[in-house]
Amino acid sequence: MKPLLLSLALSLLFTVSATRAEELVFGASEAEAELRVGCLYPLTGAAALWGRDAAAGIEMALDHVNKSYPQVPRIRVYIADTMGKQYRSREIVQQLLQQRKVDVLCGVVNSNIALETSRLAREHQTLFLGAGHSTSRVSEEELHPWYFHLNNDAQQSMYVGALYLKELQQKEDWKTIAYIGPDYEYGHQIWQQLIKSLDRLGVKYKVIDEYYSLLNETDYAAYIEALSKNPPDILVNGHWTRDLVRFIEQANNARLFEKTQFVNFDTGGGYFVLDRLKDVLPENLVLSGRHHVNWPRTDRNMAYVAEFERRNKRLPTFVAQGAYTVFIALAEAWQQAPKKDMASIRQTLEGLKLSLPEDPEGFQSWINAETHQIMQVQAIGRTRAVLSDEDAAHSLVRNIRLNNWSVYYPSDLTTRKLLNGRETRAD
Amino acid sequence: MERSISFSSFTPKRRIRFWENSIVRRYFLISLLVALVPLVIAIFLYDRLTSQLQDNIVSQRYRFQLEQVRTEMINRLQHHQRALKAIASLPDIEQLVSTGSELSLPAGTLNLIYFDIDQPEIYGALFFDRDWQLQRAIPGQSASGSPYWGQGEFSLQNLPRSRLGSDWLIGPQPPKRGLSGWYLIARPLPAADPFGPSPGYVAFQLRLASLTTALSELNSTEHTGCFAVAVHQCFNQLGKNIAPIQQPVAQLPVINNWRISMLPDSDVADVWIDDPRWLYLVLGAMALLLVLLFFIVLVHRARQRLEPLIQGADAIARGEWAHRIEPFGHDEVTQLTVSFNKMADQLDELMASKVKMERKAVQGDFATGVAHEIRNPLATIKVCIQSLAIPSGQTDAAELKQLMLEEIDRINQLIQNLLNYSRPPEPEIREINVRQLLERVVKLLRPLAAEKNVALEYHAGEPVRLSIDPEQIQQILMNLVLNAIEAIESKATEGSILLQCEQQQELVNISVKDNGPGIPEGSLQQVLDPFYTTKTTGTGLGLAISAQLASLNGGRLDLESEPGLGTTASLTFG
Repeated sequence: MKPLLLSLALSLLFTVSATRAEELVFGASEAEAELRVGCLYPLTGAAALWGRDAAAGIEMALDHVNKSYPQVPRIRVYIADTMGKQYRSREIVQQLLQQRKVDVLCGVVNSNIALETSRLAREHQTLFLGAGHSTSRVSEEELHPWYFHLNNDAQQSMYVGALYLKELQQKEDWKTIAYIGPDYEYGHQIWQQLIKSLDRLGVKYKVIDEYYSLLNETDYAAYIEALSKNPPDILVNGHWTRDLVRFIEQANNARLFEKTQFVNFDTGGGYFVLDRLKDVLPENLVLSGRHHVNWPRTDRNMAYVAEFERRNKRLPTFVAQGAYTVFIALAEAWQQAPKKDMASIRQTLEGLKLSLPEDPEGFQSWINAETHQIMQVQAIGRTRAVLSDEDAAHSLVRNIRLNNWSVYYPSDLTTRKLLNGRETRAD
Repeated sequence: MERSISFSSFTPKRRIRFWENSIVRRYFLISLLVALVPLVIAIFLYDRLTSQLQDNIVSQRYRFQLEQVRTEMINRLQHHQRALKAIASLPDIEQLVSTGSELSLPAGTLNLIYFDIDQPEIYGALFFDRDWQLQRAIPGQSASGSPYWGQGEFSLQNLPRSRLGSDWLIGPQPPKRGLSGWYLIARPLPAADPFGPSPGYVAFQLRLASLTTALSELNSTEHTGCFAVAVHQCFNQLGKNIAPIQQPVAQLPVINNWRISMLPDSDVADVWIDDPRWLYLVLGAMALLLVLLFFIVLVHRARQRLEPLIQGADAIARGEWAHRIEPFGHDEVTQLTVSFNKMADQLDELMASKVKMERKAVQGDFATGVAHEIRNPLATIKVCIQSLAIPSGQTDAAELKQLMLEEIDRINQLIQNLLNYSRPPEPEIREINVRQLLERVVKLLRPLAAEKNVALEYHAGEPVRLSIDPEQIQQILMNLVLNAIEAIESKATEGSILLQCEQQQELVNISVKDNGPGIPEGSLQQVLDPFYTTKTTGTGLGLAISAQLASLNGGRLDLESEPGLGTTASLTFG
């Protein structure tokens, strides 16, 4: 009897908590809405910044769509607060589908929630435009026709990272490598993909060790001590958000960066980390992100960053860019789709080309028709104590100390098909 | 007989081996042992006690730390057990372990499972049928890859299993390339029929490092906390399997074959230096060494002090009577040196006396023989001369006869003196008043002195009584006064002779002081020797006999003289 009562009580709790969850709504009114999009982002709790940035990116994207895509129907966007919790996400997806009757799902920062949401999208035959997460599994083993990944995934980031390390080895002759990242899907994917890419590129290396810290770990002393005892030439880091900030701070205090070359190829170069560390950001870290506020220095990117800053009094993170991309891609697909239904839009998304703020001059992002993975340029920078004259003169990005870029285009990733059989058809 | 005394300092003529036949070495060795043995015993006992105490404290501390870690681990396991118990009790939960059936679970059941596994340390919930075949895997927020997504191996084969109450502990699975280590807690699902078999198991796949993080309590500069299930296995705080190369210093079972231990850190090779016990032992050894060195130095110095004594004794044994050791310092060896010198002095005197006695015995025998051989014919000659009839009127012949008789008497007297010196008569001791003795001598000799224009006086002071032979002492005094008169006479000036008697504490001194020419410095040492004389008519026996008589009466005759000013002869009785 007791277990039954417990389950009933918990069911009630879930229902109440989901109902009372914070929700942001943008775009057309309920009555006017012709296309409903439900996004899952954390709006409260430790990861709320990502959700707030995603909401700001969506708002900017809607304004841009309304202005530039006259054929696109009126869109109503629901942003449900996942609080970064997996158990909430399932319930929220159910609510968005059943109560809000959304036509498209979007978002999700956490890779595990993204995988679960993707499964639910497949179950409900609902289009899921993923943005914010990094695992490449969603576009590999877990890939289904209704899922599209609209930011660079771990496989792309790590392949580019492997290219960078190969070039670095030719210059600096590094030999040993170690890894530390969060102990969940994302952290494992980052390392597995990097190792695979290094092997494919024929890079000779010796792995000293690999460490997986608890998600949201606060004390990295034991890991830093272990790394300091036997420092590798290259320390690959797979942390992100506050975990990465804390690790860099603690490792810097322990002088770990004097013994090893720190690299983070997926999110470390994003604005979140640069903003949190500001002047204490150590020199000579190799960082990359899915979007940089000071690269590419195109009018469109600068305009995007400036508009975001004007609206929100802060610079955008890569999650804002990912959420922005979702609506640009949706609008572009809608505009190009021969039929204005979700099946046609889904087919149009396959191989779709679109221009985004993060695209450098002369380049258009595109969606790989087979993998449903967006293909974008990735830039890897190094932190510097002294700003370049160009950065120092720029009122927007003068506090960003990441530059000295190495830029990699998707066309360079010719071995990508060797990795998993996926073709870069639209290149 | 001329004698000279020499002092010697330490000159190692004969090397005495330090460790052989040396009483000094023996005594110092015994002293050293007496000092060191209790010290060594004290150090040993102290070390044993502190060692035991330290071991007890350390083992208690280790035990306490291990207990803390075990409690924390068990709490974690129990926390998951409670969650598993709740899941296993959910309605229709057995659907999750059945093959191929469509799920018709209540809405809250899956949500509860998702809620329970939404923790960073849980990879997910796994559902096995009763044959431990995996049927479903529900990912938690830390899930990664197989069995939740994609293809990959997932097997429980070869993993250790142990019971935890009614649950199972499976694993741990060590970390692999790109994957973390994990373990399972599995709980059998309740059977629909109370007496039927369980339909399967629900399990949490748990992050191993979240369990081993409790080992941080055991980590220090000296030790590494270790969690193990199998032999030669050690998962550290970070969940890494490190090869244990040393035996644990302490260990404690957690559950069944799960155990935690403390491994000595191989990086800390010199940790014993930090152990106060070793410091004490090193200090103790240094103290022993210092004591040993100190004793060796002491032995060496004592030998240096005793070596001259040994050499001195050797020299005396060789007949070097004049060998003396120069004393220095103020210790027992100094006293021994002084005593040695005194002994050598006495031995020297004894030997001189013996020589003298032997010589006197020879002289006595000679004198007796001579006297016997000379006196008889001399007596015959004297009788013959006396019987010679000298006609009256032959004055010269009568004078010659008289002269011959006097010379014969003088020869007799000389022979008598010689006999007296060689075989002095035994003194007849009795107590007398010295003043009376001086008075008598002065009365006897004053006329002769006056004749020689010498003033003879005496000064007795307080009455002094002495036990002596008065005849022999009177003979001495008269001899001294007569010598003084003769000496003054040779100076041809007005002379004076003063006899004095003084008592100073236990000593009685009778002196004869004249203002004669004195004795030349070179002769003063020899005038007491027999047959030594500066006079042309003397026999050289007067002062020798006087000195001998003084000695027989327990006294001593000393002469002091300043050339040109006079001589003082002192008779001292103790």
